[in-house]
Amino acid sequence: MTSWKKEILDQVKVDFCDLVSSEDRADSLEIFTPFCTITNKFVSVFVTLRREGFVVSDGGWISQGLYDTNTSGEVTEIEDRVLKQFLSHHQIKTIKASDSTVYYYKTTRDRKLITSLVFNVGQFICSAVNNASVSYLDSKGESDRARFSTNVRSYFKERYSSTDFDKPAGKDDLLKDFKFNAIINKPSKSHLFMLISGSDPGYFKRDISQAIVNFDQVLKTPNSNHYNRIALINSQATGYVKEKVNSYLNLLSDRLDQPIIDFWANPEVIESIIPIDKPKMTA
Amino acid sequence: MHGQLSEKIIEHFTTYTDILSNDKTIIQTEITLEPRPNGPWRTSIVPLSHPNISGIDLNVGFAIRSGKYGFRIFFKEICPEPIFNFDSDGPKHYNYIEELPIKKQSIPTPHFNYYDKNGRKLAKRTAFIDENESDIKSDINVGMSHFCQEARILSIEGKVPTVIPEPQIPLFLPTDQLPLLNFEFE
Repeated sequence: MTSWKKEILDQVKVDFCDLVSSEDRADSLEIFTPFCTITNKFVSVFVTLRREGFVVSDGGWISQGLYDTNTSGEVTEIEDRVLKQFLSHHQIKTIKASDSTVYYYKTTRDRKLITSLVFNVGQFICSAVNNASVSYLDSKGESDRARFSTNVRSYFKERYSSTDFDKPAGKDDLLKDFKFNAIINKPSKSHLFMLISGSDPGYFKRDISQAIVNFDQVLKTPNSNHYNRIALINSQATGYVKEKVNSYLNLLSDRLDQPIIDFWANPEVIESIIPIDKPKMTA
Repeated sequence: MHGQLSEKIIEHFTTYTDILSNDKTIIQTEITLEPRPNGPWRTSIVPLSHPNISGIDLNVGFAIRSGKYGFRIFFKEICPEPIFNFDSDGPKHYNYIEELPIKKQSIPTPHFNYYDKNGRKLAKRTAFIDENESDIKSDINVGMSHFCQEARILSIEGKVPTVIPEPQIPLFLPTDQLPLLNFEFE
């Protein structure tokens, strides 16, 4: 090996080893490992001496929230499934203390194996913390959708004295299981709105499909003429990729009484269909 | 991903610095902690009065068996996570700052956590922490006093509020003191 390569290897070895240190803690030795979580915490592993042998554990720190995992949120099904796979992969045992703290651990009677267990438990802690910190929900997509929905709602509330949101339309038995994002009931017509948004074309198409299903059902009702079927799209959504969603939008158009409305570009189209019944607020 | 980037902090960074750099007051002079249903923590949430921002809270937490404690300032309008906190104990924080050698990127507890203008969560220690580490770890009120100084918090009487301390015991109870954790050995 050339000398510069050996120097680099030595440097990395020394720097890595420097990350391993310890703290004496009552009945246990805390070992700081170089493993690092996506919450930017270095993993600590605890070695505790018991009469039967050595316990190598997380010291209850995952369960106590010391790795800055989001402990307030519910554990999602996927998070739970991923954790079970890590537990099984690393063959980690768990025990719950009387104060409900959960300890993740492995044991050995052979002192020589402790390093292997520290490595193993350390990797497990890292995986478990990352699992609990990753957002499995598409939060940006959800917040875009929520913002779109909020804007549409306030638009309606400012203009129409009564709008229902996310409810079934009217009393028709055929529609009782179908919710519409917004409903404006007028004596002559019931205006049903479906909102189309999504952070990727897949989600966007899912909204279109839902609108198609709902409006198909409206068409099956005996008095379908009473309903006005309208779709509002969020043209600012990142999932609105025309070439990918156009064929879906065409299918949707076939089921509408109005051309699809681009809410950001032409919201006034809504007023031309349904006259405003609230006095305009002056700024 | 290098660190927890908070877009909300970036967006509201002026408010963020305003919250931290202005004096804040607590109505009570003593903070009494209540047990939480799960886990070792006793906690209390007290509102912080700020001259022009409302909705700021201080969360004080103390783990009864180990004596670990933490102070967290929340402003949920911009961030569901604490915007500034102090931990007496717990894992080292990884400050990923490219120019620094790796050893300097690791910040042991006790330390403060805060956000920089790029929305990056960082940890810092102070000269006071370096010089008084064992006193801080063993006495929540030493930590409280330093935290209040760094976070600019005082009670309405102009003093640092007192938190009632609890006795410390080891991570796992000694084997002669039940309840004992029955670790399963192969």
